[in-house]
Amino acid sequence: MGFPGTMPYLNASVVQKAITAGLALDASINLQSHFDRKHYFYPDLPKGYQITQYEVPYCENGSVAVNGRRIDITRIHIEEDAAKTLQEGIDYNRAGVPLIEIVTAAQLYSGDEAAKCFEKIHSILVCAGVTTGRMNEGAMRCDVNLSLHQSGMSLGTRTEIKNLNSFQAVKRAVAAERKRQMIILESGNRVKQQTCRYDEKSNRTIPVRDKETATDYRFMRECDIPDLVLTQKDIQSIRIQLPPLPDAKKASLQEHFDLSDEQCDVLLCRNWALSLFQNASTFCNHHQTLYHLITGVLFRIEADDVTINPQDLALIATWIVQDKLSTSKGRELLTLVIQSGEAPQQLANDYSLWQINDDRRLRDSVTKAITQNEKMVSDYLNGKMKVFPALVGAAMKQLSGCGNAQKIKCFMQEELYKLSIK
Amino acid sequence: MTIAQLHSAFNSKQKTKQEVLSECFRAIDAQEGCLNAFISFADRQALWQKAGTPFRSDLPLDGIPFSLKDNFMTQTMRSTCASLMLDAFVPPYDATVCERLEKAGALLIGKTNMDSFAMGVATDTSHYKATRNPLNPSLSAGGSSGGSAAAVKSGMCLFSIASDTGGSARQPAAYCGAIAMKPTYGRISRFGLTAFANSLDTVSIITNNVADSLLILRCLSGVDGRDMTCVDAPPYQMPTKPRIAYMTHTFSDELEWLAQRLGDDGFQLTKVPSFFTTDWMDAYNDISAYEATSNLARFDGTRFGLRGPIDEVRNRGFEPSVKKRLAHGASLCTAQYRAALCVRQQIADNFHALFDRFDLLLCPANKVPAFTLGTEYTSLECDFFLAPANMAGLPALVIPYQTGGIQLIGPKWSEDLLYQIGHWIGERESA
Repeated sequence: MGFPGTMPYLNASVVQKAITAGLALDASINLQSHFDRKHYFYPDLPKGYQITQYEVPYCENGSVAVNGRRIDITRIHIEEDAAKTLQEGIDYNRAGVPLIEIVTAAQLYSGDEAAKCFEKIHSILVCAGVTTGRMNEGAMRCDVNLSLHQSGMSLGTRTEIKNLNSFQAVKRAVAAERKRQMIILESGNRVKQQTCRYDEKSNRTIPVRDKETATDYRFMRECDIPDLVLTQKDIQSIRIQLPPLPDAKKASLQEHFDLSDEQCDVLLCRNWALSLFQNASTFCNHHQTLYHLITGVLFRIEADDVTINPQDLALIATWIVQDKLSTSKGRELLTLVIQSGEAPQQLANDYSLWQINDDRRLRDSVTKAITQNEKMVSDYLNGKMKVFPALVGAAMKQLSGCGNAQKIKCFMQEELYKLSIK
Repeated sequence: MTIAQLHSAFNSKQKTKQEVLSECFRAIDAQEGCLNAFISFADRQALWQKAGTPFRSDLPLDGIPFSLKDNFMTQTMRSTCASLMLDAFVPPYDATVCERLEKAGALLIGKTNMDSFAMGVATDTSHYKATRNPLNPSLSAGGSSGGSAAAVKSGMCLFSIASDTGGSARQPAAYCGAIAMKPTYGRISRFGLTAFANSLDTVSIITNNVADSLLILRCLSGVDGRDMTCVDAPPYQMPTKPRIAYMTHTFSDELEWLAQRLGDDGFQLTKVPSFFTTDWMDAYNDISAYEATSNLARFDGTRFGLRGPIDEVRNRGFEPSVKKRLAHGASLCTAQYRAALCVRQQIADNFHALFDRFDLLLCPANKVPAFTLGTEYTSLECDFFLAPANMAGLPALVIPYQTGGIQLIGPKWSEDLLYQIGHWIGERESA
């Protein structure tokens, strides 16, 4: 609230987290930094100044990989948050709360890249334990600076879109602001240097504050906070406690498992899925099958609190690979296992999920399907190829969906060929 | 009587806490109408009850009435900084010094008058009345802690806690014939003290004798977890044979004489050329004004104090003396502030070099003798010998001597030495 006589206090856990963030983003930590006051008048700034690190931030020169490209992080600094302006007034609970601000270089060229960059930084910091990353709780937010210019010309005037709190919002806001600036530029006017906010409902960026005249912030050292002095020892002790970060985790995953880039990203987003996959893979080395079972079934139920024995999962995957179960019956079995908690073997028996591989029975179902669908067969023989799947389906129906699909198709083609040359 | 003597009397039942309290009330009733030392008073009934409890020898300040300059926050009374801006402001918390003193058993009599927002040298810019000097009511009590000095000297309370940014506690103490200790910057927590120039502001102690000042310093020193600049004092090695340097000025023949008498008593005294200069005062003026514009930016009419649109509130709420200071601060650019910081480093270097050769500096307190109310003097003139100690963060003790006061300045954390020599001088004076 900025009452007279109150004084700032830098809490130790902020410094811990800040160093962790700096190391996780591959930046260098300045052993000596200090705090400054940035003065301006705005109702959400109770003291009439914000305590920040202007001259010497605690951290500089980091980087993050986005789409295989290196995006530089120019600085990270500690500062205090302003109050929250609401429709009906101002909420001062947030004022004075410490935050760290990460600033990238102007190296992003689309809303998509900006969103991906935000996402990457987000996942690294959540992984490192610096933040919960829950943006709806205000744990993290993003400001985007954007300008347009014609190739070969110098950079245009930049505007700032503040307080974006989802990756989608970043993407959409950039697109909206690009549109707004294009309209201005194409009509021959110039873009004003302004702060904007993004309105989700109308999908527009709306200018809020003019930043045309450079404000003199009258930066002054914050004498009530002593210099932030760190030792190599402090930094080392935090560095050795860093958990494996997303890029390293991904590299490790790709090294040990047969998974694509995107598939790794998907698993890395959900810790439970990752550990389930890793556990199940000790019993079954058919990684693709395991992966698709997890994403096909468990993601549907958002299985945060569902317990599935990795061995059971591995067993089902193995059966699929051994042709004892079809993929779809495998998924059905997995769902049943989760719902009932009973053994897969038992459930497969009870629900007759096993795949039928017996050639005689398969040929029998094909013959029956042909006999029962004269019209479709004659359509096919007259050139209407697209009824083939329906004929296969009819054969499958004879076997309650448990037939070996490949073989059925094979036998069906054989029989239809025989008929065609008659 | 010193606090120690009073406690001894309380213990032996020769005197009661209520007797001491009523002496203060009598002094207030007799002289406050003339002196205007206070802005607010605590409820007498409540104080009387507190003073009626049995004496506790484990509480170092049990039953001792005191006052606080009105720029210290107190939950029980409004804290105005002697400005219309905070005329009705009752803070939701107590300053650390208030908490510590009350915990030690001291009784808060009231909040004393001051120059508005601690900017002044005569306590005549207060939104309320001007404070007069108890020694001679036609004279100013000095400023900005005029109320504190007047209250202590006239017996309205036994000690007062004031603030000293460029001489604000020492100058009025010298004018009123009281003792002021401005400790090392960082010794006493500033939490709850309205900031004027936060790299210069120092909580200071005004008493009638040295022993009391030492006792109170002990109660107030040390970290409180709310002021990052406040640290526990590192151990100070008391020199067995202190080497005293002294600097005189045009009208300080008294100082020359004092130096001689101290020499006669066996102290090592060396006269050194004065290094105080007007450049130092210009730098102090710039730094304090620049920091003031920052520290007073929070008074914007939105959350507490005078409410209204910001320009209207600041125009109406701030006294002309405050506006003048803020205007000066706002007129300075970063480069000028930086230049002043360089001079500040020079001041620190000068003292540092001096304290390599000596343990203590004896010098004048006031450049301007006590003046009548209504005379216009500025800080530039009055604080000439006083502000440099703030600029260098050094402890300084002012004690009454002959017609004015003299000042003892030491290296950081040397308060014990200042008290020792100060006490000696006091004894000498009364002998």
